[in-house]
Amino acid sequence: MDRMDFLQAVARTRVFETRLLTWARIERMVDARDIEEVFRILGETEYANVMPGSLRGEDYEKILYAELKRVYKLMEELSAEKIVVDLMALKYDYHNLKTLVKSKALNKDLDELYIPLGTQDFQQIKTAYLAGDLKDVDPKFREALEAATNDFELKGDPQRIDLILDKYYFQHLYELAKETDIPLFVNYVQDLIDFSNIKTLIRLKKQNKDLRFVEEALLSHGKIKKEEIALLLTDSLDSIINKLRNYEIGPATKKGLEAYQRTGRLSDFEKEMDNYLMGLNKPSQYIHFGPEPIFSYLVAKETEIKVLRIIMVSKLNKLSPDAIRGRLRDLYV
Amino acid sequence: MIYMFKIGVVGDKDSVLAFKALGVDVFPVYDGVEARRIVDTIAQQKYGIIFITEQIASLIPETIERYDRELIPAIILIPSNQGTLNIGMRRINENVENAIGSNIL
Repeated sequence: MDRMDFLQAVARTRVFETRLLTWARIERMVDARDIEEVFRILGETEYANVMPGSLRGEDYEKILYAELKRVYKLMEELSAEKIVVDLMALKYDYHNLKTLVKSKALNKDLDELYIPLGTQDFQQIKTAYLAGDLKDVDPKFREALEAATNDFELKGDPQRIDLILDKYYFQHLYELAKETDIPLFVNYVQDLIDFSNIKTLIRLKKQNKDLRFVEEALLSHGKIKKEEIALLLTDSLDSIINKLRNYEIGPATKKGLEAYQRTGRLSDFEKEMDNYLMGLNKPSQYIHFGPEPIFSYLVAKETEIKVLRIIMVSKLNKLSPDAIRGRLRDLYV
Repeated sequence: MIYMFKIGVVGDKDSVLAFKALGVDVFPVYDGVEARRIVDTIAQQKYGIIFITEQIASLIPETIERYDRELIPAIILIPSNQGTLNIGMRRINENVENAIGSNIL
């Protein structure tokens, strides 16, 4: 990958960065009376382009998806190499694959659950899969689909569809990151894998699953060996925090798990994970030659949309501004 | 002939979605017109019990009353995620009073 290829894209991304929502604006939305007021504040920003004239509070997802779609399309046009955008978009492919396998297993139409994003044309994959002819489908997707379908036919356990496709997703994601050979991307993916593994561990611990199940559910390619994480199954939370403290993600894990200990909500752990991953991306603001700013802008935009979603759902359900604040993530700028 | 009745739940999305995990059919609605249409439609479709959030039910009192006179479906009011309006409990109290003559609850 030639860093110079990204000169123009970086320059343009710099302009887009200035249009990201500021913390002051987010604060105003948090303090808004209701979701309509949130919409009004949003109408003053770059979201104005994707907001239809009349809008019900419950339609907030439409705005958020429209914006996400717009950003992905824009970045795909901008980026000299599609792979930089694919790193972020790949999760939507696998989400759709999961839905596809389940929809076939249930023999039910789940069309409204597909997300119109991803690295490839999903309609084509869907048609091929339903016709039972996968030979024109990307070999990685084909392999994942076949593995999940065969396993479900054999064992009939829908949970394993997610498990298997997640495995293929992270394997695929890791290979993409390796291919770019950009340290930020590899780090991001590896840390994401570690966080996911810790999250899986905590969940399975709560469900009293045995070591064999845990070993099968954990992902490879993280910085922390998955065997090591599996052995934490019988440890207390304190001892897990202690054993992970010397890893890069140690401090974030500590904060997240301590919050989890206090509240019993794994979403508090996810918040720390998001903040850590955002911190990883922040230095991209000072990189002028290379693909990092494009990737980080996508991360920033996804986080921004996540923050907006938290605010809007909270407003719909009449949560207090303080409760909302506690759930928000760090922003990029 | 044995009838298998279905169970449905009607209300705002955030309140009722979790019922899906229990195998209950979920119908998210946001206003009275929509709610009336959904309740009338599913009442024709072998739903034995329809749970409806108090918030939505308070928008369509006539519809709820109409089904009080029918044997099937039974319409049960439940609180939403924003707390209860006490309509459901009041209805139970009234029914108990009607049935046995005094409020024993």
